[in-house]
Amino acid sequence: MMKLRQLADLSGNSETYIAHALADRGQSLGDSPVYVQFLTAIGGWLSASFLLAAWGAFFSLGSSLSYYAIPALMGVAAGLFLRWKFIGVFVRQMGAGLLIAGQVGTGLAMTDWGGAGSFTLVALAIASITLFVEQKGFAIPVTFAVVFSGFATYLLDHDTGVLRDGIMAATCVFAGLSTLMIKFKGFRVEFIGLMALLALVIYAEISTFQWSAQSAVFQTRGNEQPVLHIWSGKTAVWLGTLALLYWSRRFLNHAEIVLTLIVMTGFFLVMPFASVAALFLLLVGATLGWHPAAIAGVIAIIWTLSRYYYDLSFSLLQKSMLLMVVGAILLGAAYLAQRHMARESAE
Amino acid sequence: MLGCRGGKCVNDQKDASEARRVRAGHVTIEDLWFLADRSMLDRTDWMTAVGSVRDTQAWRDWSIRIIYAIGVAHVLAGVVFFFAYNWADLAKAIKFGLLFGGIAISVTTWLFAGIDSRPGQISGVIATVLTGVLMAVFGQIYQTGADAYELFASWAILVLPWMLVSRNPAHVLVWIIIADTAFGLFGAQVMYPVWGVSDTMILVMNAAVIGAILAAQYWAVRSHDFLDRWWLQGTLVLGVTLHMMLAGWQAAANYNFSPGQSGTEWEFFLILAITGMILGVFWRLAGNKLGAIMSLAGLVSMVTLHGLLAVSRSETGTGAGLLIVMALIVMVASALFIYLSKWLAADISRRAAS
Repeated sequence: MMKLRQLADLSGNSETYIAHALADRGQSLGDSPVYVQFLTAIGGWLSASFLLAAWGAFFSLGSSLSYYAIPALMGVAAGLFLRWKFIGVFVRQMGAGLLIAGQVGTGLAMTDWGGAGSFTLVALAIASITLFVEQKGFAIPVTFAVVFSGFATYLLDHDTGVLRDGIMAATCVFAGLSTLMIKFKGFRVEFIGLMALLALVIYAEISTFQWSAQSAVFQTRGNEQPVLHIWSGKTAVWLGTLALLYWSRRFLNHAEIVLTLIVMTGFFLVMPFASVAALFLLLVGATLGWHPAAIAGVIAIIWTLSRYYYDLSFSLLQKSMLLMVVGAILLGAAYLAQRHMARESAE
Repeated sequence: MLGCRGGKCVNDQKDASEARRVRAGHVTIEDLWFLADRSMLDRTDWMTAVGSVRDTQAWRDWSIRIIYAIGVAHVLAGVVFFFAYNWADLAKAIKFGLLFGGIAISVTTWLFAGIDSRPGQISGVIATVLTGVLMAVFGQIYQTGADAYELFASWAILVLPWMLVSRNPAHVLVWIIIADTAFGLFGAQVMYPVWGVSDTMILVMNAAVIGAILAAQYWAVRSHDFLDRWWLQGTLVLGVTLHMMLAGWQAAANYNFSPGQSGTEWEFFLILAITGMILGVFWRLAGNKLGAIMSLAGLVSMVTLHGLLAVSRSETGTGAGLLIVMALIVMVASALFIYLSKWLAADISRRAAS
């Protein structure tokens, strides 16, 4: 009951009032089984795609792909309207289907007209409108996922200098921390944060492979530019870890902060960019006490580890040695931390 | 009853457990987001509130366990990378020695750690998986010419005794996956090309095999408590219904695109729909919401897909008109599914309560 009392003190409400409010949350979660909602959602999405395709067929007279921006934007508008006005699962999902399919359609038209950069800007505008119309629904993180994908495509396609990976990492880290560590009244933005950190992991993986393939194909191992790209990305994530620790200093003790810094710095120095991004996701989840993010981080670490097998920057023997050393250091750090915490609790 | 216990079904149990959780003071960050949405928490108190609901000791323990796990994963990955680097140059004896050694260590750990202990059970599953790897490597080195189904079937037979003595539902599920893969591959490599059995029929037979395993599990659970796991039963129920659903889709596609071939007659399509209906009624009487609703989904999707394919083959109307008709078909089917699934769920809950 301790936590309820602390929350009651913070919010100025009674413990019973908070307990009742949270019990309501449980009731609202149990409306109908998840798989029914999932299957209904599929129906909504299918209807939306057929409707949008039919709508697009009216505009098929145009010779250029950019003509499709008109039906696609109308699909976005119809989707937002349905999600704004209705509460039933089917209609809301149909709205989501129209919204997302419309956004992707707009993206294709924009890419044809002005490239991935203009698509990102339009997608960001749509996502911002969605945020204000919807405030709490799942269409927000999905539309932001479209924004992050557009931005990542733009960066990966263009030669944007040595800070390319740094820009993407800083954007994702900023979006992640600012939506998870600050509460925006009336908006459920935390899933944008989760989406941003997942986008960072995927981007880091693609970027690492782009550079490792390039260095192998053109035999430019030792070329400074790819190395600088990766380091700019890793640095942004490392700085994000410092911000995370600063934000959480009220409830983390010194041992936890030092352990986090040691593990993150170790990864920063020797592990690939994607592993650093995956570890950051795990740290955010563990610091907030948010299981979905922490578990996503663990899965991301295992995934990046398995993908490391195909990294062409080093030979299998070099990677094998590196992984064994990193593993041994992690085991040692965990052992020391466990001993330290046992001694602390004994005192 | 399957899916319900003590007069309560999974959803009712979830509501009750949610209320119990809050009463016990187990508040999570998701609860904080919910309270903040209701304007019951101020923005300035946010990180203090996060700190107050975060279970510090539990997350410390979790973090240390995870660092250990990541450390072990890195060391193991390093070992795998090392052998991958040398694999082509390794002698056959060393390759087999490594795998036999792995199996021997796993089985020894299983025996010494105790058959019911967590490390023992994990070792048992590792031994089962390594046996399959050993057989695959044997086939790779000696080019036995065996079909893939033979590998899986022999693997399932060889590790059957381990599964039977394991008293571990995860081990049972791993074995079921191996055995069902063997059956599926047998269908694809022998029944379809050699015996001429239709692909739809193979899917129905696969559903029947999983159904038989589910019946065995339901029967065995009375004397073997360890098999009483919702996820084991749920996976098997999903296995049966999804295979039937796939069979329905396959039948709809065959009927529309491969007329005249075996298994594409409309009578076959009808028999499949009636079987799906009987299955749905069975799950309803058994009080299993998942099975009943998934069977309903299978039936509705099968008929809808048939309708969509039939409409798409017709050469009348413009492209846009055709797409609007298809959208209408999906909308009507979804509305029907929503109405019937709500009725089914309410009916099963009511029957369980009475």
